[in-house]
Amino acid sequence: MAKTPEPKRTISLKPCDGDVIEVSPMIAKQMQTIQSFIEDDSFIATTTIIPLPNVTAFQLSKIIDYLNYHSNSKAVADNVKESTKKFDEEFLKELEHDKLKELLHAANYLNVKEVLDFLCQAVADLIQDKSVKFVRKFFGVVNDYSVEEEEDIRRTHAWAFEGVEED
Amino acid sequence: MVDFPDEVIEHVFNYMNSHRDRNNLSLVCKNWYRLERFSRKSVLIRNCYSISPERVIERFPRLRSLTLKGKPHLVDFNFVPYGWGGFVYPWIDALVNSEVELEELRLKRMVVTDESLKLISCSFVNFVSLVLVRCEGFTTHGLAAIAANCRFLKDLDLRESKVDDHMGQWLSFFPDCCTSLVTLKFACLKGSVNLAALERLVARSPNLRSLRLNGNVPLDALKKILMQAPQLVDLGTGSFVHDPYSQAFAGLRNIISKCKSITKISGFFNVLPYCLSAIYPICMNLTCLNLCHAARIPSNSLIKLISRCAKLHRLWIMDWIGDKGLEAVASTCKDLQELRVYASFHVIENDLAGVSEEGLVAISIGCRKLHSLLYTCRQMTNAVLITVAKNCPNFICFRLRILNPKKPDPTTMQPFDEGFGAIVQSCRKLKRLTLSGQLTDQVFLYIGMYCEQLETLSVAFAGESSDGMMYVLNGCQKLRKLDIRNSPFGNSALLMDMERYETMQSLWMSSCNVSIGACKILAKKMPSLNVEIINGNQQPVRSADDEQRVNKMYLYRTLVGKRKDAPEFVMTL
Repeated sequence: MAKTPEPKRTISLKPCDGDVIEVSPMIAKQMQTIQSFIEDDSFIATTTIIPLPNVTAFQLSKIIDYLNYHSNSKAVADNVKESTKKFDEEFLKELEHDKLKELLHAANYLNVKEVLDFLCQAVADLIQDKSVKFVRKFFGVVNDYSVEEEEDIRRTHAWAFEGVEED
Repeated sequence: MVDFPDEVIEHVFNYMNSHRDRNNLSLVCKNWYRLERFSRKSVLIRNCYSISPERVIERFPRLRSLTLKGKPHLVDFNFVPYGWGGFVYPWIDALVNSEVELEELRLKRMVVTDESLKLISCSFVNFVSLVLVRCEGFTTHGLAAIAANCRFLKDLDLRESKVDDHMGQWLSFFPDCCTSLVTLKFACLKGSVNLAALERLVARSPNLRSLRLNGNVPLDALKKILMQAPQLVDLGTGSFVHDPYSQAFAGLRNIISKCKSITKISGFFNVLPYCLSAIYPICMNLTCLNLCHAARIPSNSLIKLISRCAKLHRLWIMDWIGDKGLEAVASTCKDLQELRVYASFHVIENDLAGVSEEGLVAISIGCRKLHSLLYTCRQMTNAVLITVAKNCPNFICFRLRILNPKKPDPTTMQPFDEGFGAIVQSCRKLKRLTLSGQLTDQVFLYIGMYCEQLETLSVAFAGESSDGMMYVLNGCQKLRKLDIRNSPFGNSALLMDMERYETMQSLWMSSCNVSIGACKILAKKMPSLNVEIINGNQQPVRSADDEQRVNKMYLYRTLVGKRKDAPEFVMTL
């Protein structure tokens, strides 16, 4: 890409626990929550600091990393599929379950579709083929079924909505 | 940590597609039940009599894709009398009445009427996929309605259905504009085909990937079709007869060689052996080859063909391939995962035809990735089964059919207990097993001991006493379907653990030692089970004395009680 000298126009985001992070408008626009600021008044958006009380510096930088990598790789040709896959795997590898969930909260708060899609898929992959107990624990959901209610649903599933795979 | 808002949970749900996972999600808590209920698009019902359509729709009001299964699978071998049941109409009717916007319907072993097909075609505006596997009861009139009215149809698959073919014209009912067809499989139709309509249809279906023609589509038509649709991936060839020295035949070979994307091939109705050479140019690309419908081809022609198919994953073939042919498969197809060898009738007439233990042992040496086998042979030995168990411990499905099922091992005159014992001891992932040959209760002891993952077991002419069945019921905790024919299992085995049947999908027993009285006790004790007594000669079942032996018994669990559409020859206790 040709570099044309341009006045520095970045958006300043202030996470709850760290210093201001500057992002390009292109990245900021993918965060729906920030975009509303930019649309309202692009002058204010570029001159004032937008506070993000629900997002940590770690989460914000992860999200920006993801968006940066993917917006750059999109510009290039198809043959980056492999390296993109590798980036995604590395990205997730660094996240423990709790960090992954917090990041999902942050992505949801910022309303970044691309990251939300990616993280929801990652969570789905994690809980796939797992027991109900595991899923409850993972999401910290309290079981509000009575023993009888749960048994009744289990029975309905096993009797009507499940069965052996065959040709 | 704060709970995730519902939209995030639903977003995750969107990526969860397996039925088992979806079922688990709704068990997490009441809120998840609600979220899952309204977001479930795809529902699977393994037995159409286990629940009512109204209850399914009430639970999943936004369903778009429904898979339904009807008759017990023994109907494939004519053990279930015609007219038993499995009607789809009440389901379609309920879906229409509840204004479900159905898009996909997959039916297996169900009775589908033209009325049902017409109702589907004019009720579901966005209908895209109709798959009818081994269904019956409809004609090409019903198919014409689907073709004419379902403007967005992508898949029409009539795999092995019995269709009354009144009219070869149904293909001309597709709309005149471009179609969305991706799959069109009608190899099971017996009638003539309007070839001009077929060619025009293929020409205006740019997305077509799977096309399986019936035996009345000649090679010339196939040529024209392939010229228009070189993008096909899955081809059922139709008839395959031609003069091999003609110019037209040379042209065919040339055209086929340009169809580089074909990986699955079937059909070859009325094939002449030398015509097979026309597909040599694409053999290297094939992963699935089905020659079950091919008329008799000598083994040496099959060997020439298969020795070019090094990438095959799946091979379905008739037993006239012979042991020599299977040796060629073993030395060529190193990636073979699934093999089915079916019997042809000539085997019974000629003792040396077909395949034997020699073919199987060759396969087990050559094809180490094999995990699914259906093998119909004239002869087997324990020694070979023990070798196969050692060579291929990864079997998930092992179905052996010896043509004379009561025969012992011809080399030792011993029953096959030790052979099958070796298979179950070595193949710990086995989910489906079909036994054959002379067997004592000992084999069931082995099965009960080792088959921890077994889900489906088919037994015929086996065992000595009720003990055999008891070993299986006690041992195989994951067993879901058990079919037993002509075996001396009696009341004590049937009544040993009646609650066990609530953990199973179905139990079929025909020509065993079970009495009507015992079935009545079972039905009374377990009201959640439907215990059906089926009269094989289709005469009404009379409530005879309790001592009488039951001809056929079919037992399954249900949430909705007795079915109301049973014919007279079925008595639900």
